[in-house]
Amino acid sequence: MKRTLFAAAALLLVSTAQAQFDFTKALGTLAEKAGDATKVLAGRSEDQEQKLGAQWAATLLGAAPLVNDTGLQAYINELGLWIALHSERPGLPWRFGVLDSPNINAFATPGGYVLVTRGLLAQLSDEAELAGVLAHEIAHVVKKHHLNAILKSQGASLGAELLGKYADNKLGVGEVTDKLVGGLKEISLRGLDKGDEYQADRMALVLAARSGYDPFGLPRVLQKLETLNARDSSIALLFETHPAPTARLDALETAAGDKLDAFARQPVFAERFAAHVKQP
Amino acid sequence: MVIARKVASAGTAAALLLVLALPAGAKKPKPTEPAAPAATATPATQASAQVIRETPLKTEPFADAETVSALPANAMVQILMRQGAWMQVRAGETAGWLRLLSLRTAAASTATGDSGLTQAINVARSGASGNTVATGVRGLSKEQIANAAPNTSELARMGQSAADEAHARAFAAAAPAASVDVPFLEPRDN
Repeated sequence: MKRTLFAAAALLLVSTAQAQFDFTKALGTLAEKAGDATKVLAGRSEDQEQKLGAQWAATLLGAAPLVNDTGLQAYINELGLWIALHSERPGLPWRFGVLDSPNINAFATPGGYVLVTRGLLAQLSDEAELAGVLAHEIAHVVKKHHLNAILKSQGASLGAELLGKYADNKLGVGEVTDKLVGGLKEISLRGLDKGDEYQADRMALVLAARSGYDPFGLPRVLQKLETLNARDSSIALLFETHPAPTARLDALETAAGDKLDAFARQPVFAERFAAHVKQP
Repeated sequence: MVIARKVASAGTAAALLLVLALPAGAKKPKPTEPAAPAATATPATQASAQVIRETPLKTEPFADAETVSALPANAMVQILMRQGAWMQVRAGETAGWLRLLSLRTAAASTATGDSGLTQAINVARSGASGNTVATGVRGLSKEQIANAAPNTSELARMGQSAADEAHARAFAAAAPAASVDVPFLEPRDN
């Protein structure tokens, strides 16, 4: 029915029967491809989700390597996994890392990869704040928010057809093309759906509280980010890819009300954070 | 001058003492309230903040505390300290408590990109207002991501640092952080 309506619209715009045929065919093909793309992340195969996430994480690691500090990397992995154990996907092979970049940002990729920059760590005061940041990224993985972004990239350089091949296991990691990597980069630069960011914020407060932390760590990070200049190159990308911190705080106040106040006295563990995260 | 008489039970209010003349015999915490761990009461110097929406200013950091006054949206306040989900602020001649989520810290007005609450917390933490954003330094910029080639050896290193569940649980127990049952929030904003 929808296709017929689109075809009719095409007929109005372009009067030849040939143009109508092509338009209809193109729409049908796009729908088929979208169906394949959804298989990649919509639960068809966790293995495929892992592979895609690994490729995506490797690309981010190509932009900035890990900080060469095994103690710090172990710390963020233990904290991150502890929080992830309180999510709906505790069994994923969660991996966390600190990127050696002065920029302020954090990333998640499908399958359980979470990366934060040392620039972001430098803005934090305690473990509850880091827990809030990691919980936000964990929520993106748990809710498969990347799927939404990939579906929206139809027609962009990340081809649905390529993802379809991925879903059908016809494309190994070794064969991943520049085109796929290019598409994943595009999503990293354009950001996820804004509604998904708000959902990740809401979930992050709860995950932090469940893990025994003061749930207001993430809001305190957002309040700090707000004081930074959006035009500063070190934070420009984060501001371009997320709703404004004020809008996020406002949404959290609307959703949380006083529901989490009872957990606000849970600890923040500032001393352990300071012992592991050497501030400049 | 009206001053909310409730201050943090933790003895970390050194910064507060500098800016507030405390009334003698400040009230003890309500018996039902657990004593705040020292780390959750964050003394702050006089950072500015703005009220996001019309909100009541309370005499104490509790929802059922007496309302001092109603602050209109966009009212400017000075942050005195944080306690749990609440911030103690001064609005003109009046001091009281607001919910943390009702506040946004004042927007950056300079190019240094580091002011207000961040600086206040830095001061509280280290005694020095360092930690400025490295303006102009390139790292993980849009260009760098766009030009990145996948780094599989770094990906392997990331995998080597992965924790197993036993270590994560030991890490939590050492803090000690304990699991709490908390339901997810309803998506009332969308």
